[in-house]
Amino acid sequence: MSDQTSRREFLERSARWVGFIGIGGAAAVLARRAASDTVFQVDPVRCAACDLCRTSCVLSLSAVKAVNTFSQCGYCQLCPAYYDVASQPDAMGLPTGKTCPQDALKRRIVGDVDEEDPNNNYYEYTIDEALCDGCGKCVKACRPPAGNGSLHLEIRYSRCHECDSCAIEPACPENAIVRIPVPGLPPAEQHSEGNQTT
Amino acid sequence: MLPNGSLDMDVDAKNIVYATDSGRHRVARWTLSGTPAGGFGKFGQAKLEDFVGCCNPVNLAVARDGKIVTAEKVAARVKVYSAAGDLLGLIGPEYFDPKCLHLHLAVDSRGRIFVGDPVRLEIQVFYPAAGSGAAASV
Repeated sequence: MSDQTSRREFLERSARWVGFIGIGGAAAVLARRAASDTVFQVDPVRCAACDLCRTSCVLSLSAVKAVNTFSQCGYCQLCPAYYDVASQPDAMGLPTGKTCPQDALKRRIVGDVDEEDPNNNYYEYTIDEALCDGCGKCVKACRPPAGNGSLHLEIRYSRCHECDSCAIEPACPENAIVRIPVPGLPPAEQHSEGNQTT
Repeated sequence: MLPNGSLDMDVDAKNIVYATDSGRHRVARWTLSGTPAGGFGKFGQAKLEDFVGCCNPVNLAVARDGKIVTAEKVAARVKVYSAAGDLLGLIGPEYFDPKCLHLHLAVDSRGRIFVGDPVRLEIQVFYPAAGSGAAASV
């Protein structure tokens, strides 16, 4: 009788362990799959452009870069993200200083060029990512009402190690580093984590 | 013209379309068929008639008598121009919230200017000053 009991107990205990291991394994697989289907990205709504993306990234030159959304940009001559509007104005009334300490925000005239009056030209602003260190000064300067808010910070996957452990995430005071579905995955395979797309 | 978040427009009695060309700091005119018909305004920080900052003017309205009313952000202000682009009057930033990105404008048949401030959630009405053709606050 005691032999039967211990056999039964042994079988029950074994079945319980097999169940635990099975559930744990399935959970680990699901977690791994979820992680591989998502990537870290900056939520532009939460982002305070506080400079921690520059200092917290494990890369010597941060994987976070400024990005301009052209459909929101005014293409103005006097761009507060380009010019330090508090600096001394020149003879034309334009500031002499620039906002970006790396001079990573570049501009060129687009459309019909008026050589005589630069006020009549449109200026397209792009970021030289080899220079941009993700400090966010341009993003802050572009925010409304001074700017149109067309600049935001973005993790560039071509530079990010994608090691599934972003060093900026725990440092960000605004919890602006979120997980989003891997860009380009079909919707059925996407998870609903994060609230931003790139 | 490159439209952006600051694009606003109105049509006058002669079917001329007026649009804010904020990238060039101008008010642009177009015919209904899309042909450019001139405009006025330029960037500048010293003269009142110029448009300051990034992306101004942001809003406009055309009065029945052909005057053009514009609104700017940073600092939020409203100006009245003749059809030729001469500055006639100014409604200063003291009337509006400095965080305003847009001041919504309308002009009625009596020349009264209605300005909607979406931050303070109020509409102010400004009457033309007698004899000057410019707008004055009441």
